[in-house]
Amino acid sequence: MKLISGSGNRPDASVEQRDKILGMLERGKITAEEAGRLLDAIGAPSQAAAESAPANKPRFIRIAVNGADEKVDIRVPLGLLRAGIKLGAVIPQDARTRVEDKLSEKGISFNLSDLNERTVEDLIDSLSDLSLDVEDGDETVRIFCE
Amino acid sequence: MIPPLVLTIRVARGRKRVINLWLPLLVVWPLAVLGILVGAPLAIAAAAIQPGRARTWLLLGPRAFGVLCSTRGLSVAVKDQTDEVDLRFR
Repeated sequence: MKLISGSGNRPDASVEQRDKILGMLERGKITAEEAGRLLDAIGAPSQAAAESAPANKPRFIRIAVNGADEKVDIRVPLGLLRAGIKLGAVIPQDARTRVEDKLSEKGISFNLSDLNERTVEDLIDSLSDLSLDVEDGDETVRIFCE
Repeated sequence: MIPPLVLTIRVARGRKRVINLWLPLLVVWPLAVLGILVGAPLAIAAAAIQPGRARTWLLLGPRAFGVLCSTRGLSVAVKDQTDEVDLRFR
């Protein structure tokens, strides 16, 4: 039996298919193993959707300043942020402690150990919705991810 | 990971283009790889001499190369009434 997965936009379709499969299992038309495979196949579209979700991850952060006399447009790849964090991770612990002490002297309390790849990935994921617009008279500042 | 292949730098003053550089980084990166290959035995030796910092010595080169590769797409454009500067890693 071949199941054609739906577009994924109709949640009722997967519930119907699941009930159909369980009905066939109950009537003994298919084995438990076959039922498991069919149920996994129903779950495949959501997996495919989840796998395609990273395609919407932002790749750049843009800073655009538009003023009466000047314009600034900076585009920074977010991969640079990841690579910078990875580079920072190889800093020896004693050097890292010295950096943290210098930062705290300036009033910045920051633990470099908290900055790891997972934290950065979470940060980048949440940046996808970032959109900051500031207006001050004739000047506008926009910060967003694309 | 592909490093940026071209760096373009444009500087204009008024309507006159003062600097218009098109740098093929494609030529530079093999030299950087050569530097890594030469530096790798030195890094291994340093890691053996200082075991406490072995991770730093061994990973510093590849991670620094990763940072360079990540600059692809970086662009900075600044324009005011008279001058204009445009820098792009492609």
